[in-house]
Amino acid sequence: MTSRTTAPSPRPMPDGAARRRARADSPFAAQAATTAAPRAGIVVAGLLLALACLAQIGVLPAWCLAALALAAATRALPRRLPRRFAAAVRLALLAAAVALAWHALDGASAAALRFVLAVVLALKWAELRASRELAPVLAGGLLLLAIGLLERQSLPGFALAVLGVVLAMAASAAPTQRRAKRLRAGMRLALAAARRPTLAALPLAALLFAFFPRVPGPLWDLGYTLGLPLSVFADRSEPGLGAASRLAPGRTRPAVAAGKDDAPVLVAEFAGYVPPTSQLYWRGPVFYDFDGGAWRLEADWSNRARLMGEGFRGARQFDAQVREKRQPIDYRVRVGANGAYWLYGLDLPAKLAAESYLTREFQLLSMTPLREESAYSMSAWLDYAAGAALAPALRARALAFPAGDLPRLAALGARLRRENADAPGAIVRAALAHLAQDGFRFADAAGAPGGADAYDRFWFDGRRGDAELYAGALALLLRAAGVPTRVVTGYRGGKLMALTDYVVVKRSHAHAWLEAWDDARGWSRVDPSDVVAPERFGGDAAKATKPSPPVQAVSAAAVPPAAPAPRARAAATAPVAAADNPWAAFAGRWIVHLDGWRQIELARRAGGAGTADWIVLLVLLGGGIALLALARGAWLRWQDWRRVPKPERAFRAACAALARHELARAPGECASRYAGRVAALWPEMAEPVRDAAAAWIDWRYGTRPDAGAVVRTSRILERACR
Amino acid sequence: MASMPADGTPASSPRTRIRLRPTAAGLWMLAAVVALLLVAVNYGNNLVYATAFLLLAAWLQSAWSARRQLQGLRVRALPPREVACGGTLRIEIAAEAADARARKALSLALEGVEGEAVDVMQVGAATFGIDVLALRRGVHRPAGLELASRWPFGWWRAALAVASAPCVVHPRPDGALPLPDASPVRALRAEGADAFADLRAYRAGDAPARIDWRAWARREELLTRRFDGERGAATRRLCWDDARGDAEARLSQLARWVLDADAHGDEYALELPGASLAPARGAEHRAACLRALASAEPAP
Repeated sequence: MTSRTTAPSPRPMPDGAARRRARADSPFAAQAATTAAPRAGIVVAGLLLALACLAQIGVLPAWCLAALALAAATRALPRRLPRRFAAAVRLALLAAAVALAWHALDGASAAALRFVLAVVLALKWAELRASRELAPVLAGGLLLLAIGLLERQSLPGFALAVLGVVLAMAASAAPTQRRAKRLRAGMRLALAAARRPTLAALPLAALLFAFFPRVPGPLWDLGYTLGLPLSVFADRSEPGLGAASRLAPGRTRPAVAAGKDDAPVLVAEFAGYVPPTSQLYWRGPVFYDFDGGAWRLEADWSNRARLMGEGFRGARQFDAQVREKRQPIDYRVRVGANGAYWLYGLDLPAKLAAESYLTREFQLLSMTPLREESAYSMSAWLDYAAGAALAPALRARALAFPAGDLPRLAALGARLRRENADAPGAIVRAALAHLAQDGFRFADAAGAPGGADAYDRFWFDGRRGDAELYAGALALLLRAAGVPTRVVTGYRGGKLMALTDYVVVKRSHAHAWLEAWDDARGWSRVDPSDVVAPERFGGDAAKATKPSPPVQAVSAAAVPPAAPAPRARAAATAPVAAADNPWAAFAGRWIVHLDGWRQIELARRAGGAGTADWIVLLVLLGGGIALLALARGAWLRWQDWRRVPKPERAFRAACAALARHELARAPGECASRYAGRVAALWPEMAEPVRDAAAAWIDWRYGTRPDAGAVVRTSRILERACR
Repeated sequence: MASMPADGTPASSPRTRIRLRPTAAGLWMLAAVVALLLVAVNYGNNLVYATAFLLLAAWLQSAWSARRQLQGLRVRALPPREVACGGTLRIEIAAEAADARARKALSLALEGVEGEAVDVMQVGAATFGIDVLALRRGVHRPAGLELASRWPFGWWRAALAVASAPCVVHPRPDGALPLPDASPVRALRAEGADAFADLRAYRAGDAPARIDWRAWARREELLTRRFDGERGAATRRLCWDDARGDAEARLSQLARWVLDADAHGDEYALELPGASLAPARGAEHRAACLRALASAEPAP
């Protein structure tokens, strides 16, 4: 009588994961099916990591790859070893890798960071057991692959990227494909699972690729246009070209401290039309006095009272100074805190901002030092000649020339003066022609000639220099030829953020040029850099977002020579694939080197819009995605419909035709009853509906189905209903 | 043709919404997309853009795919077997497709924990199950029962809520007391042994003397005469008061008795403080008894 029919089984406890997830008050604890990652998934994830590591070849030396292989090989540690032992081994390997990266790969360099990321991923892969650990490894692997492909922007690189994504998908698909017992079958299933979604994803990916606005990075530049605070000039004692009060030939770098080149000086937003950045001159310190060793500002150069006394407080007062003005432009500027008074007005200021004044040298200065970021709206004449008269004292300063130190420049100046009959315009043109023809080259780090005859040696011996050397030397040469000159420093150009109206000016845009006086015209700009290295500032000439400038440029002596081809620089750094292969040329143009400008072209073709910016691109993108979704929905619907057998489709169509006459078949209503109901309510239909229902029933449930009869009778019924 | 529902049109059933959520793996992949986009914007690299967009498109696409695995499915819970507290219960549902599409990577989930997946549900109908551990006595409707699919990449999880059937979790059979003997009070309905009551169909084993031969002659049908006061089969009374210990121990003891008595094929009655069940035998009676034990007060 006590025989136990239901033996009390040893009370099973849910495993850890399930117990954790069970709600405290729940009467049930579900037992999860296996959570172990399938081997196919692990192997495919390993393939992705291997691909990502191989993509680092060229950046990482060979021993790094060996170290990565060693890290991944810890997967082969016997599983019966205590877990802690394996973990300790991996931790030790990681520490060794970090130490190695630090010493052999130059500290926190890009290569070292890549190596450490790769080692972490390889070790994580080596200890991977559960399905849920797959995703982080795959995400990291894709990132590593992308970083490795940064230097391989070419069509084969694209193939590698697509392969990487497909591998990530296949590895992710493996846990949903457990029916395969063998590894190879599992991998085949996983890859097959990835194939169709990849094909289905391609149109959307292409759409995103074509129309996602390519606003040029880095991201913080983008941030500046959105109002990210501009950095403060950190080093006030060495502010660099564009802000310095002393200009030693060849010694003043655009940005003194290494790594500061990227610091922004100002961000300008243009209203409507963004001029070619080569025409943007942001005026800073202006130098008259060369003492043999360096150009210097007056001792009281920051004396506000004097500057304001000599300068202009109102636009009308200043307007009398402007002799020629063309190309008006409106803009709004945010200037970073530079600690001095520089507001860096665009040449030539056409009005004044609040709390500001214009000096005699047309500099836009703030009344108070800029200790924090400030913003103002301005307008400017891009093309100008200004200056009512040159006071004798100033003319003397603008003609001062240390003849004893620079005999060769003095002689050349005298010759130019002789040959050009004292005409300032002709002298300037001749001097520029000399620069253009006599093998001068532009060099950013030309080094310092040093000494009192630095400009002589630069002009006649070295012939290599940066903007500041050229400006100083040409200014002195023109003085020797009897043309009053002054050296202007500041910033030129800026980085035009594609698809927006913003220009970010950085310290690396620091520049020096000069202005020459002509009694007939006043001060006009002369920029020797345009003659020596025309490609340097031509970058964005034709890239303005708006189709045409409001006023056509009128050529004048002071206007820089014709801008070079817009993409000369881009083409030089990233040559498009061989042009003789049309497909490669197409891919190079529209895939590999698609950028904001080409997107605009694309948008114009797609939308026919006269103008294009990132909003137009986003609208196109959204519209494209909506169209794609509709098309896909229709396709799937059609597929579902197609899977239904033909007789069934025909009968359903006939029922739908009856439903239009308010004789819909009720859900669950059997076909013969339906036929009887229809026959009773619509006697003319009695015969066809009975025939169709009988044929359908026979086909559906009968022993000798006749599909043709169903189709035939259903069509007759459908036609009768019309 | 098994793919088609019998009547050719989908029966009207309350449309259950399909819940679609990215999984942890999906969020990792989204994080990868964001990281790739940051790299792409920062370096202005079209290759990385392409990688990011392909991954993003596949990510979005897989959401659609996951949802499609559950679209057009009709599900209903199957009545579960009763289970002892602490035992393992298999909750099962039946799913039926309204169309001819194959469904992939479906699994039944309870409170987010998924049972084993069915890789491919071919056209037609299928059942899905999940093993759950019954932790508490009672008659419960498991909450949060869903049919889920993570097809194709496990980045998204589409889930269809399933109304569950009540599950009887009876007390764990326990206790050392022997099964109570057949009751000395044999049949409650005993009156007089010879009073003819009625006829019933012959069953193998009936005494020949009881057979109504005249009826057989008339209708060629064997009938057995029954008399009131016939001694019923030995009935075991399983009483709350006979068990020992606290309430749960008594319930466990009663559960053991019920299962043992049922295994013997005996007739038994169950008497609980709140309820009593008349003597009977068979699977239905056993289920009723276990249900009464499961829902007996005081429940924890």
